[in-house]
Amino acid sequence: MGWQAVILGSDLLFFVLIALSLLGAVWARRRPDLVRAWRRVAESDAAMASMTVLAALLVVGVLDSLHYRAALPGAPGQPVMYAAQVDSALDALTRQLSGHTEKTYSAPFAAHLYAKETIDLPDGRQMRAYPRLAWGGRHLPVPERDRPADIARGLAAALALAVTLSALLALLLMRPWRHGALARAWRHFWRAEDGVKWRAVWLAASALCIVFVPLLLLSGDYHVLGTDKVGQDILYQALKSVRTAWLIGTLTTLIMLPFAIFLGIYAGYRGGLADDIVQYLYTTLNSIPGVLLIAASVLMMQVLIDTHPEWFATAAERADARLLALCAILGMTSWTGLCRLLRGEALKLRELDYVQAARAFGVSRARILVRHILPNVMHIVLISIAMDFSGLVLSEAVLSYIGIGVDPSMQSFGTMINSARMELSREPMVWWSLATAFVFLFVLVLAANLFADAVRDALDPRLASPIGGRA
Amino acid sequence: MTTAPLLEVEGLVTELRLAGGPIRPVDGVSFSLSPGRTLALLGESGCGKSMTALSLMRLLPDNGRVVAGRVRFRGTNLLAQPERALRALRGSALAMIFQEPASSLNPVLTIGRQITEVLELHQGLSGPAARTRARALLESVGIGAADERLDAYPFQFSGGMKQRAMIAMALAGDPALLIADEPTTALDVTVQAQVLDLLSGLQAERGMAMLLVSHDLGVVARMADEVGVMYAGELIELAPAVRFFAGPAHPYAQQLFAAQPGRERRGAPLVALAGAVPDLAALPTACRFAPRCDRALARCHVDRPEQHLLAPDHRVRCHLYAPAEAAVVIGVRPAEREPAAQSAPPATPSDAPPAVLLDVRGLALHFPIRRGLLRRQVGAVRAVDGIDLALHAGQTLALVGESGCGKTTAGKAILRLIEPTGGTIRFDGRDLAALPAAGLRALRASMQMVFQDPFGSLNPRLRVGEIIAEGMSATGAVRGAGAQRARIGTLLEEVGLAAAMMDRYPHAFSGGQRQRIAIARALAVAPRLLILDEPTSALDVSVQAQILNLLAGLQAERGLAYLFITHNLALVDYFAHAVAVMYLGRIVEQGRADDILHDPRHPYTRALIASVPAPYPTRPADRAVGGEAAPTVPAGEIPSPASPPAGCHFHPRCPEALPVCRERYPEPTVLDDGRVIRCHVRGGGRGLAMGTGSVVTTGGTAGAAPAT
Repeated sequence: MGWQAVILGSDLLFFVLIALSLLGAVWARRRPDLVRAWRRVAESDAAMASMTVLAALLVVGVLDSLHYRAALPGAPGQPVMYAAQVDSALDALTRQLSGHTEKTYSAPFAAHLYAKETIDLPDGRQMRAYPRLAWGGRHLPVPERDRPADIARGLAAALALAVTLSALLALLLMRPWRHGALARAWRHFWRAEDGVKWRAVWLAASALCIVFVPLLLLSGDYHVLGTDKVGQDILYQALKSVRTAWLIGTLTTLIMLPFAIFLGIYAGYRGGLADDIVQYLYTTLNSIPGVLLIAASVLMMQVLIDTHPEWFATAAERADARLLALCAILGMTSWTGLCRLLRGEALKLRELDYVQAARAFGVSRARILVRHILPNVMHIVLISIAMDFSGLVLSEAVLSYIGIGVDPSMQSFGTMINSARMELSREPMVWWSLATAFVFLFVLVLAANLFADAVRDALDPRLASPIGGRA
Repeated sequence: MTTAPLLEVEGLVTELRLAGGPIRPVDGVSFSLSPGRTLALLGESGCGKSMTALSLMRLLPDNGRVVAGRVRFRGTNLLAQPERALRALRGSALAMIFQEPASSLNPVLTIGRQITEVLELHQGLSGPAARTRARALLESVGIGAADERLDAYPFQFSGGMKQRAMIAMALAGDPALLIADEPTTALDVTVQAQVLDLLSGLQAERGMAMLLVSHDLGVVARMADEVGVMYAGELIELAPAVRFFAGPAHPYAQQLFAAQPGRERRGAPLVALAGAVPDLAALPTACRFAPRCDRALARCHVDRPEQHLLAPDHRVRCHLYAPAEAAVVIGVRPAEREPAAQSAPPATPSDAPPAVLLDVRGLALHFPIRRGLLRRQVGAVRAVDGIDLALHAGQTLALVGESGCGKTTAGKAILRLIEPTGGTIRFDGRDLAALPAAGLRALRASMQMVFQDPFGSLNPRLRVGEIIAEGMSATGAVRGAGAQRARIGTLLEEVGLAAAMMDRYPHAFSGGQRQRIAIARALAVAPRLLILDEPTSALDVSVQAQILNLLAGLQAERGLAYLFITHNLALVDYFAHAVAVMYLGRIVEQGRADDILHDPRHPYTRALIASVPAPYPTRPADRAVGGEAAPTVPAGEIPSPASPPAGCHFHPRCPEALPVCRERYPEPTVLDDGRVIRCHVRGGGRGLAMGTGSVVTTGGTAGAAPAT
């Protein structure tokens, strides 16, 4: 079956961002001061563990950003037609999740629906009962009897696989071929003798394996985290939401950075009227309640999109445009904090002697900004990117909750939480959707925060010097 | 020395845990101190002086601890005391004052509150009783209107007053031992003299013992009864001050004296120690000074020297004084410090000075003060208020003054780093102030600046090579990457570094090396004038000597002219051909260095020179300049340039002020030796001895040299 690659706007920006980060990493390797700073990150257990979790989530996000349209089966000789549905590599890999749709709510590992329905019996009578699920537990003849044993069997197999994977990973990280004896390699690895805390990577990766291998293996036969109102698998929703969170957290920063950096250092360095204008701008923006501003912009943008359906070929493109617009709006309203920080820093750097020395040589203003000011505020930029990420992910959840977030057809933690509003008030309560969103969001934000902390500790020159006074 | 010692320190060892392993900033220090006496710990930065003082108080940073030794205070070992007992001692029997008065006072509490806090804790006083006592304390440290000052906040105090308030707080607990850690390093020289006078007066009054930590030979000479020299964590010499200043025994101490710039060394290079104080993490195993010592013996690199007694109270840790070597060495005295070197004539060419390279007339820089909603200008800070300078090619003009007098601003205004508001700057005949930006860029290669702080003057994100190349590219002095690299290599070697260092980042270099890089950067565009803004004030004395030698060599080789901005009069005496003394934005006295430093006429210049503590023990009464009555250290501090006193700016502090001084600023007067002075008393003919020649009053313009 053929397929046609689809590159959505957000995919493109996301890949550009990843490419830029990789290029930055290659460039940083040649800078001894940066290498030293990042080694300090590598020396932190928390940073390495959170980096592992983030990397796993990033893989999910990247897979979900590889979009394509599948070819429709058609008569030979005719031009190939492609489906209107845009799928991603993640959809293809988790076909057992995306394809297995039930009628409505079902609890985790259930074989029956969560609500009673009227069933027509073969003899023409009707009865109220919990109908069997179309996919969950379908292979069990008598679910009540067989299910515990079946789950236990699957769990045992999955755990065995997870442990094997984890052992393989440990072997890979220890690199015994480098150290000769396995015991020596283990010591080197466990005590982090090369300064990099690989054991934290291994522990985090093993924890992920132990949780996710069983979930994914069992998800073929069961809805391991239940289904939502329209019968969609919650695990699938959660995995799809990861991409949304990444995009909101990173693209927003990408959009706001040029404003914040340029306006901040220009205002700080130049002073005078330019400084007054920039300050006026961000003070005004800051004094409008953020949610109000965002809500107004989002509603305007929504009207624009709704009145121009001809702009978008597929529903996915429309949802994507809306996501990008949301990122842009969040970016436009959130550059002020970083801008203010950078202005202050530039104000300080401007008076430093090396800037004065450059001015004494007649170096042009643009060159001073690029060579002397910008590199010396980059640590602030990097720290604030890392710190803002989690805040932006959370703010998406809040915005979607109040109904001005991403497109309803798009999965996000915010829409999951929003739908939970109704689910929690129904009787009996549906808790799994909210719980899943909560756990995923919590892990993502916690990992991002821990990582940001480590980055700040390593890059902030005020914290970089080892303890100790004048001798 | 008959009294029992108040403080006895034996074999004190302090360790700091760092990422690279523990280091010992204090390693086996022993000394004792009696009531009423002052022991000075002398040494360069990184030698463990402050850490020794902190160890005594057990105020070490979190990663530090005392690993061996005893500190007996009135017979009890402080190191064995529980923290509770020690806390009761700190601030009462043991008090400490720190270097930076600005950061030692809590900015949100009034001075009175901070002093009464100590009184409440240690004296049990409270309410009106505490306030009365606090007022008495402020009065005793020479702060007038003490009752009002008690309710003032630290920001309302000047630097010197803050340090006085710190001393008042230290005295509040009636201490038996006062530890003063560089108490005057952050202060101007006239204020330093006041604070030192205050400290010795208080000590005599109260019979306190004092442990003074200082890097300044002059301060030590002024204050100390005994001197302990520290080097790389060890106390290498301990002697009574009189013996020490008559002839230090340890080669390091001798080198410290030899590295002092001053008149007697004029024209000759300073004796500069090679290298710098060793890193405590990589100490030489034997004698720690051996790698830098010019008298090192073979065994100095093998055995750690023991302490040898030269006299019952004079200990030296050096192999040269081991009984086996002593016969050879004792009697060798360090270079003489008396001004006997008169035979070496000053390098000042007295006749036919070379052409004037830089001619500054009436340079003014006023910062507007804006107030109110419409930001209307209500006044101006006259940072530089009409100064005239003339600098001859190949010579050094020193611009001298205390902090806040506008000397750095003047330097930056000459380079047009800050736009001047008035006056002309003629460089080689062309008026800089009138040039447009493009024309100015072409002249940038001719004049360059070297900054004070070697850590702030190099961009940490650029390689040394890139830093030096920046000026070449910007001015187009050297084009092409290959040519630039070759030139950078030569330049680095010229300033005493290796060409291979161009690919390293600034953090890999020490302060002295960074200053060399900054000099190489300035030289890269082949300037004819260098503005040196306190180029050595952030450096240790031995490194300062290296940099001064380098600058002197470059001047001789390339015929550079230097505008040397400094507050250090000893440097001027050693280095400068001409001097301009600046006070509150104006030049009060200007002329040949020789004339001005040895026969100062303006009361401010006289006060400035009198305030510099000489590096040999003296009494204040002996420090007369010229044959006249000794000028006293001026009272008060430099006023704010935003609201200078009416009339002559110096009159409120001037001991010789006349009524006319309050009314109008004196016009410049040219004296017979060519110097220009602005003083009603000394310049107008109504003052004391005026020399022999006639007095010529010129109009608004005056130059130290005849116009060419």
